[in-house]
Amino acid sequence: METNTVQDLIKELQLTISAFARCWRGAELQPNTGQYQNPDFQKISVEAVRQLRWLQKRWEAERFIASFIGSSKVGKSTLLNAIFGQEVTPRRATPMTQVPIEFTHGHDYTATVSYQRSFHRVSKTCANGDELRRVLEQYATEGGDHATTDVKRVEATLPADILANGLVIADTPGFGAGQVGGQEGTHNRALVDYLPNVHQVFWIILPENGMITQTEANFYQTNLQGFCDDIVVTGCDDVTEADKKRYHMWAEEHLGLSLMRFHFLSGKKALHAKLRNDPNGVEQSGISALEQRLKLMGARSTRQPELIHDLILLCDDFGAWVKDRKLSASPWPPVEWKRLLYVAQTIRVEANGTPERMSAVLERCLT
Amino acid sequence: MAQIIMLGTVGCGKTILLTVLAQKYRSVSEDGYFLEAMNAEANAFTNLNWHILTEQHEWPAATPPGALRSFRWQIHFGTNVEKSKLDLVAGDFSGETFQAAFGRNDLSSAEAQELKQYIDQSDALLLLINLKDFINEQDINRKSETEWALKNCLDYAVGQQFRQIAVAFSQIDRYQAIFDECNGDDRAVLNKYLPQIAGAHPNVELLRVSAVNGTTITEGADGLAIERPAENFGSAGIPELLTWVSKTETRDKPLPPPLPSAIGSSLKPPTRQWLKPVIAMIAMVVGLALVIALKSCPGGGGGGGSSVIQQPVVPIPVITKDARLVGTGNFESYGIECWGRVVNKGAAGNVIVHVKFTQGTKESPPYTKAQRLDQGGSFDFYYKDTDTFYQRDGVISYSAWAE
Repeated sequence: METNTVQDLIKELQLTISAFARCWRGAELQPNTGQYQNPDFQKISVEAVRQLRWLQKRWEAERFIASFIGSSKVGKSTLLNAIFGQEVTPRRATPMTQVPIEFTHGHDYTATVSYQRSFHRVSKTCANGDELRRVLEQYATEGGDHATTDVKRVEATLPADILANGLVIADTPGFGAGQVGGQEGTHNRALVDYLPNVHQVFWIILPENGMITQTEANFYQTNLQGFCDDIVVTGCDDVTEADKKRYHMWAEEHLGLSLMRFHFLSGKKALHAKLRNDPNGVEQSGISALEQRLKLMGARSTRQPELIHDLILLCDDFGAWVKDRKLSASPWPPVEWKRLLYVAQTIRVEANGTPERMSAVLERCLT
Repeated sequence: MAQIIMLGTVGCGKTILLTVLAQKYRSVSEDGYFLEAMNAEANAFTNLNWHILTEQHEWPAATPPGALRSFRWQIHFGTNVEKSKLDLVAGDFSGETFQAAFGRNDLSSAEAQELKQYIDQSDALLLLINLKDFINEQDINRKSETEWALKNCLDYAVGQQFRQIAVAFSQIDRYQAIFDECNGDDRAVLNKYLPQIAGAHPNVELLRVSAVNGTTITEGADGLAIERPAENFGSAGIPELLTWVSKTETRDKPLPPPLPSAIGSSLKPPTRQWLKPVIAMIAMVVGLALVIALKSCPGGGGGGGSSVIQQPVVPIPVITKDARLVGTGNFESYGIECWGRVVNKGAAGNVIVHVKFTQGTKESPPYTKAQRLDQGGSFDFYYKDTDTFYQRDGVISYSAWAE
């Protein structure tokens, strides 16, 4: 038997679920009414396939982009500065980020600006992080001397350990309040245009006014659903375990986020501790788990076990949904199902701490 | 005369197999095979479908009924030029043709007669089978009918003393799990999924073929995943298939039966008793059958014989219902096309087909095709207009008539 890869498996899963949906689409049509018995079937199957496509994209990514997204002024830039251990992103005191800034690892501090309507790029080499920050403020924030709506993206390099494994971290325009030049929706548009490029979304929430705002909920439903695995709750100086549990339950109930991972931290505390070179303070800020997650996702070798975990969760959830529908017959078209198990046969994974063949995991999850 | 008939259900992959075969051997291969296109249609068929597969990464549309029959290739193999040339003719017959010819015992149509001639003049039978028709099919009756029809087809070939018969599993890249499940034993697969055929024909040769061995997936219009040909896809089983083809030898064939004496006449038992079971089954399940005829250049045996025909006085050309108008995607880029078949239901004589497209005041350049046809004879026509700029959203009408 040839050795198959997880990429093959993800492809087969998409085909199997698609064949399943098409098969039941026909079987479920009521000739008298023209209605489906389970009208959600198609929608849910499409959603599952979409998430599998998302997993596939992340699996295959050579240049993995982790993007930090959130409403304006929830502390994205502060958090990123904390992650980098230096103040290189435009700060809250200055006008807001209006175009995506991609941070990658480099020995020098540089900034390269790309434009929408020109292939010429502007490159700047900076002496240190402070100078880089000023350059970024000029090109990538509202009111910057060189900021125009024609700026498409700014790429910055800096010597930061967390980026050393090839990870790209993107600071994105905040959605909601801020608009460029009074033009409605410009920040949102820049962000939405950029989203197809990213492989990991960290959604940043500042819980000052309860859970999330209506603006955040709307943006999530429209643009992030199925593509966001991590919620970062900032400003958590005194969040209790009960508060964390409450967050989990609320997110599951209102957003259906069973796959979501939560990170409770204080960006400000983390930044200050790092600038003071205070390891205990860093630990207490809660940022370590987030940094660990970023490191794991950045390198392909460590990212893939994480994605297999997500894949199993997805199959488990989808399988449970199918079982709940109490279908009259086995939903899996035999050819596709056999192919799926065949591909999964040679893939060994660790599920619930036990080494297993992926085919056994899938049979357990989906049947 | 050495001829092979390839039969297969709709979607078993005849068009793609032929495209890949013609493209793979477009130049002389290492194993000495070479498929030389012998007319423009064959060349265009290969180029267009290959472009669709490799550049657009789409599956070519099913070949229009009748179109394949006008294509000609010549196969060269080995070093002995005289003995290593074969003419390859591809043809196809619709399920309706089977139904008319066999289901209703009606051989009055040109297609039915042509099909009958192909079968009678053939030396080998290749049944192309897509296992999906048997494994995924939830309708038990339909599955049984399909198997039964294919079995009868094989029974008939054996009865006609075909010396070379094979069942080819198509699209085998999709069924590796099925073959592994049976320890790689093709006969065990046949026994498991088509037990009637396996039991009745234990010695039938089994082949595996996959014309496009490698797919990728993209998002379909319904949001679900669809499979497309992968970049630089390979193939499997093609050399083995050609080896099998090249072994084809002529057999002693019975003389062709007389054609019906008048339009609309039907066959009467007992002369066509053999057709009944075949008709009943094939008509129901065989949507499109592809015929590849290999005709040896020099020599060769084979039957001949003339038919006793009551000749009408003048040609009566009729365009069959196969004729239709099809837009191929973007009219502005690819034009509009139509195809069909003209059948002479009258006496032998010259038949001319005209086709014209119109949209508002726009009109296509004139198209005509003329050919001498015997009574019951037919030819296919195909016209594609890429010169006229048609509005994609507008109504395009066409007319085709024969004289």
